[in-house]
Amino acid sequence: MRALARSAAAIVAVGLLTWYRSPIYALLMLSMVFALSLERSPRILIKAVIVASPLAVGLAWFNAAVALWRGGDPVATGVLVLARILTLAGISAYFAASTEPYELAEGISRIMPADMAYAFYTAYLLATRIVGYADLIIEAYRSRRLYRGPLDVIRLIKPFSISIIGYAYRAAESIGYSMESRGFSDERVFWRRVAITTRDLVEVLILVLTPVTLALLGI
Amino acid sequence: MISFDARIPGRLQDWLTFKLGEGEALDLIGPTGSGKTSVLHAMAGLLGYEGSVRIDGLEIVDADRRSLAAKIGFVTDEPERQFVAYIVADEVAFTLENLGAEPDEIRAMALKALRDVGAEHLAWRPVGTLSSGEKVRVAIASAMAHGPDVLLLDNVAARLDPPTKRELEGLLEEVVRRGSSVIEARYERREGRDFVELAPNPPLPPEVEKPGGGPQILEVREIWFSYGRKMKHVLRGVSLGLGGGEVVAVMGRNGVGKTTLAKIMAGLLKPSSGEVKGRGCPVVYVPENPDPFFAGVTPEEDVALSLKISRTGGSPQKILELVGASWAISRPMYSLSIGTKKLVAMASALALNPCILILDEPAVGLDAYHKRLVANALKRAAGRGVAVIAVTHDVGFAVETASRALVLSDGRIVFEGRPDEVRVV
Repeated sequence: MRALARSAAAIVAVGLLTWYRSPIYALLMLSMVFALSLERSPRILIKAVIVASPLAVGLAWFNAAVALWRGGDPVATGVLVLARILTLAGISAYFAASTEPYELAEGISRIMPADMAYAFYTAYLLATRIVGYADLIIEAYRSRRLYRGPLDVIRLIKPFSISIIGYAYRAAESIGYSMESRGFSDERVFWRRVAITTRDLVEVLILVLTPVTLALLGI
Repeated sequence: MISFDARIPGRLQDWLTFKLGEGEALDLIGPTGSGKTSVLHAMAGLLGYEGSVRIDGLEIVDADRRSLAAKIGFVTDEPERQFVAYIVADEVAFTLENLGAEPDEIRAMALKALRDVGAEHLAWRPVGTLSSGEKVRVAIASAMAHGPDVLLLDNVAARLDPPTKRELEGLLEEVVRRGSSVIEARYERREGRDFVELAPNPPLPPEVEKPGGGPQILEVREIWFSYGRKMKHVLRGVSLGLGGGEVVAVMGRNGVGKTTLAKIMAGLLKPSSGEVKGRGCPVVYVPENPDPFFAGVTPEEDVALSLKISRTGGSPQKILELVGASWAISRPMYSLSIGTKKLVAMASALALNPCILILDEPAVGLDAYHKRLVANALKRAAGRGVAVIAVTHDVGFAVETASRALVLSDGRIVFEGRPDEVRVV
């Protein structure tokens, strides 16, 4: 249930952010999401920002250039795009830091069949494992003197991608084998029911009320 | 009662026949690629077969998933890859949830299964934080929690240190005494155990002589290390010296800090205090699982990349010949066995022209033939003046390969001497 509430709140926040085209609003949303995420896990937030930064900066420049060419405000457009992408990264980090894969499956199973819930669950589980594997690749490449800093990821994109895809394929196959040999089907039960705590409720309210209030205030 | 009378097209060409009663144990013996895992997969309903495979009269191919899962518990050779949950308790509860037990019953049975394998204290830990030995215990608890009739184990002891291996054997004897059947895939026979041999082990290649050591090239002085400010120190004042051209085995139980020490020596981790003094020449670390180490699609491409970095010239063919893997030069990396991958990783590491080569568990998961190939490759590398550190809990491999052994326990070196004198692992 907890995961469902968080997902719904995140959809409201991102939806309003997409609809409302004010850079100040976007920056305030970014601050709110970063504050929530920092409180859960600064480490995960920093990682998410590092990963999203090249995309955020690149798209911000591109959109600013297009705005300039069309006679619009390049600074406002750049800030808006940058803040939106980083807000998405912040919400993802908040979700990852606060939600166990089991909670996600348990939550989704309340509104969908268990095999659909486990499709989301497995994707989420794989994503966390792939991130861990990427760290192992970077460590191994550092030892081989192939990797000296984050920019080397661009140079190493081919071996890095091949390695990650190979790992993802093997990991998905192993998880599939394991689930099948352990009798996974639609007719399963969940031994833990995840209840919403006061902290979850406060965070979800912040995530919903902040964008709504800011929009009503006309910021 | 289990009866196997089948062949598995493309995996197990010869017809295999065996029977096993309640409360009996059987080892499936054979080298890498002999089809042991395929036999276990067929029994778990994951692979098709020609013939008949029955458990208590139930033909596996005709059985539905749930009734088969109720009868079988399966542990693979890499337990972390079979884990489907994030938290240990959820992992152990997974089959019980699939079988539709009541939540209270699931809780009690999952905790009991963990208690039976001595892992109740791990119940709320994320599976990713467990040591190799702990992962095997949790995987066995997951396979046992619903009380299956048959337990299938795929070479699970390979990654365990000798004491944990003995504990596992005791645990499996208890499982058999309680009336379950156990089928275990292994590389080698055990005394007093029934077995079926799928294929004979190939003859071992001749052993390369151990090289003599040279002058000291690395000094580790009073290293202390912890993974966080508030966490316990993994290493507590470790000091050692390393000479060029010697092979040193760093030994100790699972989770004792061997890999941490190796990574500190390779410069991949910074010690909390203490220092590592080298000559500034390259140090290369090869992880236990070589897959993340590769940056080429074939061994040739991978070794060539290392040669380019080190600017030493030479050909990938010659370096692959040195480690005994030149036959695989153009094969796709993903098609190679774990043993060959370890040899190729070693070749790529040697192509970097290191003066220190650190290998994490180079013998884990290998049959006797591949272990000998790896041991020979290590000694040949040392013969060229490279200082080799092999992090291992395999005493036999250390005796065959290393001229010196260090044993870590409780964050300190508790033994330093000849590998055949090691008694405390």
